[in-house]
Amino acid sequence: MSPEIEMERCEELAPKLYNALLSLLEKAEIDAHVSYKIVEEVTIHFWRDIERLYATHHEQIHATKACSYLAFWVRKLKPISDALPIPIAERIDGSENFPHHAEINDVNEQISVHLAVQLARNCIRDSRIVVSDKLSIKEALKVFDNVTADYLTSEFEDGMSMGMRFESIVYDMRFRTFGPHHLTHMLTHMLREVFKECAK
Amino acid sequence: MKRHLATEKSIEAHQNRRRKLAGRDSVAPSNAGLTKREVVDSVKGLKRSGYKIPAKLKAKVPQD
Repeated sequence: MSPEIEMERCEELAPKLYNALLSLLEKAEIDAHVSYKIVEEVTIHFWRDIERLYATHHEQIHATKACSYLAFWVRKLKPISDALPIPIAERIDGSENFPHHAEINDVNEQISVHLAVQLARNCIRDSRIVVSDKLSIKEALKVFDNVTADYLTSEFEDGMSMGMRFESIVYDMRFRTFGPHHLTHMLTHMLREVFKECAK
Repeated sequence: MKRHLATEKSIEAHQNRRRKLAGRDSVAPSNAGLTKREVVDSVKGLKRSGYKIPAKLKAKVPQD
């Protein structure tokens, strides 16, 4: 890929990703700073991976991989910082009183999981992933929303898990070796459940 | 230990098998395969999304 094409792709994708991250932060009720420069780096590295996948997978990129790789680079390069729950951020009066105890230090990991799930949802919405030949797209999206919410918020009483599955994934993303393929597994599991539920 | 050395014949058989399989392994299922343009469009369409973050996963205000 030439530097010109790389820059062209970066200019095309970075503003969209930047806005998507701001929107996800708002949905998560988080106030934070997002570095546009790092978002640019995320899109550059994401696109290098896409080019490689495109070549190795014979000109087709599996949708779950496209979703995972973008989320992975957010988790890796961490464009989000200074994250606080909105009600706390609204009460801050100067940096001397910054409430360090309330800072959301794993915000990049949290948002990257949501980003991957959101991208997968959009693939169903745009018929890039077909989960059912019986249900309408609207119905399929409803199933997807229920399945993914259950998946991420489920808890196990096995003594080995930490809280919700979402918290467990975020912990592993932060403190363990975590590659894009782990997110691909997560999305594949979710989609399998969606397929199953849609077939009922 | 008996060594199994590659021979001209075994290499040829192996290469024939490879040629036969070329393009079949590691191809994404057509149901979910995206072109590069579709990947770009997916990212560009991120903003208009009905994705809702489950209430349990939204930011919590720590209690003192």
